[in-house]
Amino acid sequence: MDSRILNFWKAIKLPLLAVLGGFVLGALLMILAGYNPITGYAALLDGAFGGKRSANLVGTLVRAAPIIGLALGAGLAFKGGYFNIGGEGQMVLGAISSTLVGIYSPFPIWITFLLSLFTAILVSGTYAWICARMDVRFKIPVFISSLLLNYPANYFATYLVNHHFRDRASGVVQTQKIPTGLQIPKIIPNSQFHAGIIIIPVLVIFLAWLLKKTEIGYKIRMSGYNSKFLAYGGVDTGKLEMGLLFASGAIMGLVGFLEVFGTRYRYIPGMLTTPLYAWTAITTAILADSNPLGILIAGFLMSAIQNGGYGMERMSEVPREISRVIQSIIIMIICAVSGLRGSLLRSDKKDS
Amino acid sequence: MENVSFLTDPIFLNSIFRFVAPILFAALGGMLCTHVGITNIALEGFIIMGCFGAVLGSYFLKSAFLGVITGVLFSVLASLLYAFLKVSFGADEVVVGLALNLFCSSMTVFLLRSIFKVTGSFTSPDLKGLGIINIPIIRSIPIVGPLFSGHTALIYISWLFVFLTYILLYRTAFGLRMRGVGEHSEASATLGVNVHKTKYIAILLSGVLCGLAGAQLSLGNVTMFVEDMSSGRGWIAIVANLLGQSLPLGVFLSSLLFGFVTSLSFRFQGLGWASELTEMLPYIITIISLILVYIFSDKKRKRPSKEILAYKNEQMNHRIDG
Repeated sequence: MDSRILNFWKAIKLPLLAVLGGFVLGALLMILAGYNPITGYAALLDGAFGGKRSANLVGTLVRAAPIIGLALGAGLAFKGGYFNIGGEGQMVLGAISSTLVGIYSPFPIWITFLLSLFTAILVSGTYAWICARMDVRFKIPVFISSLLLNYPANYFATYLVNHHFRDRASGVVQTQKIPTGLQIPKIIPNSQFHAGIIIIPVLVIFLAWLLKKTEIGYKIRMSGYNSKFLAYGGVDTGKLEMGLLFASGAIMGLVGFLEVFGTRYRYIPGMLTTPLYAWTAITTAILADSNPLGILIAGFLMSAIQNGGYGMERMSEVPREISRVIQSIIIMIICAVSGLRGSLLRSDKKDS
Repeated sequence: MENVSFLTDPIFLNSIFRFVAPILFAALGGMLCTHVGITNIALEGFIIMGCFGAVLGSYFLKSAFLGVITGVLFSVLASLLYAFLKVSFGADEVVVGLALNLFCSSMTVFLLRSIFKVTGSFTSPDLKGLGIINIPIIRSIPIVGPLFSGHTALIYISWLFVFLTYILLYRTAFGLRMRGVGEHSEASATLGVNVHKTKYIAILLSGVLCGLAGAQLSLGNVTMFVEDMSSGRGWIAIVANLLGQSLPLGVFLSSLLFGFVTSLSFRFQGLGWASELTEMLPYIITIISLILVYIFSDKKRKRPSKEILAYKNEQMNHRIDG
């Protein structure tokens, strides 16, 4: 029992330090910019957890769902040593494709629902798989290709909405609403908290189990430590990479699907990119060292910082953009300390 | 393509180097880092700092020149932070790059809000943009004139930097030390080269170059600051450096290609194509060129990476199994 507490402390020490450091440096920045950090942070706390009947806490939870989901997707690839930073583009393509299936499918409602979900997973997974394929075949690093592919994905989704599937009656650049039967019901009234969010903690437990207890999970972790070693052991690392990236992208697709079918019921260009879900998710995965259970906590925290930012803006003069700065300072501290320890997130260290 | 006459259109020709210059500056910066053995993926962040600093300086100091200096200063500060984390702390290359990009992007957004009290973008009549300089005789030659003349000073300077970086890398003792550090840092250290200092200088120089890239974007191409206006140019620059095999002339040519494709994509919009589709073009060409890099690259020059070794082992295993 003692050693378990010790291990837990070891795992939590660095993220805790980083978060604390992020808030301290954030306060310093507020003072330099002429704001009062105490009223700022008080407003942030209220914006994250307060409100009438904890409305802000519900808001934080709703925002946490896509962040945690995307962080699980990114973290799964990170665990295997592949930096999939194309979650945004993957999610967007999954969201738009599943929306279109939802609107235009001629099948009964439940088949359409499953078909939409399947489409999101397939499209997003394939988009991520392309990166792995290009790495295996042409040695193009995943972190470059996945990032570059974000841009065409966003442009293409906007193109589809703008030129082919626009809801002309609404006068806004957006698709039509999906039929009512496809809309995932809300659990908490007067909020965006829908039943689909329950999938997220289930996914956390599943991935934690997968990584820790199964052979494929072992292979993924080994791939992160040293894929050469894995290749010596007779594992087809290329196949593993492609499967892993597909799974990673598929999770992004699921998140895109949930955002459309659970909250907005249609695809609106920018609905997934403006809140910077994917980038917050990358911060989350790094903060949690790609550990699924850690991502659950870190994602909630990141969401609280971000959601609190809105409250902060309403109730104090501090601009909400400070929350993004705090988040980025947090991962810079992680970077510095883990670099110093020399026990960095799995990656090949060829030189200092 | 029923009409290619736009290729000789002076306005189109003049736009090419406007799009080339920011990519070229950043790619040369990335190239210097590659030569000391660092894959710098924070270029994107340095550029946005340069964009913001340039606007800030130009607005408050009432001078485009001082704006450029401020832009460079901002970008250099970001590169100093990067060097500090990467070299002194030994942080992971990809993670530190991502961290810096997020930090720079969020800092500019925060500062935009705190200093100018606006979100999204900032422009003002008081903002001094970079002036256009015409080259006397060349300006009146058809095609060549609009292509090479009528640019901001920074665009001419970007060409100069192709030569300057060449001379630095291949004609100076420091350049030799840089390449030595990149080739084998331990061996260089035993020969008395200060490895950390060399890396710091390379990174700071990339900061200077990205600052110039940012200044050209926010004071040259337009006269305003827009959130995330670097829009992936830092990443395209990374690819330009790869495609150019980290050689100054090669980097120039690949930046020329990507800049040309970008100006083409804007041109197609003028011809009535959907802007969303034409805007995809530079990124897709970038990815295709990465594939070409692999196909045409001289494989002997590359040190075998862990992936290649893994691949070879895999092939061996296949042979044993078969």
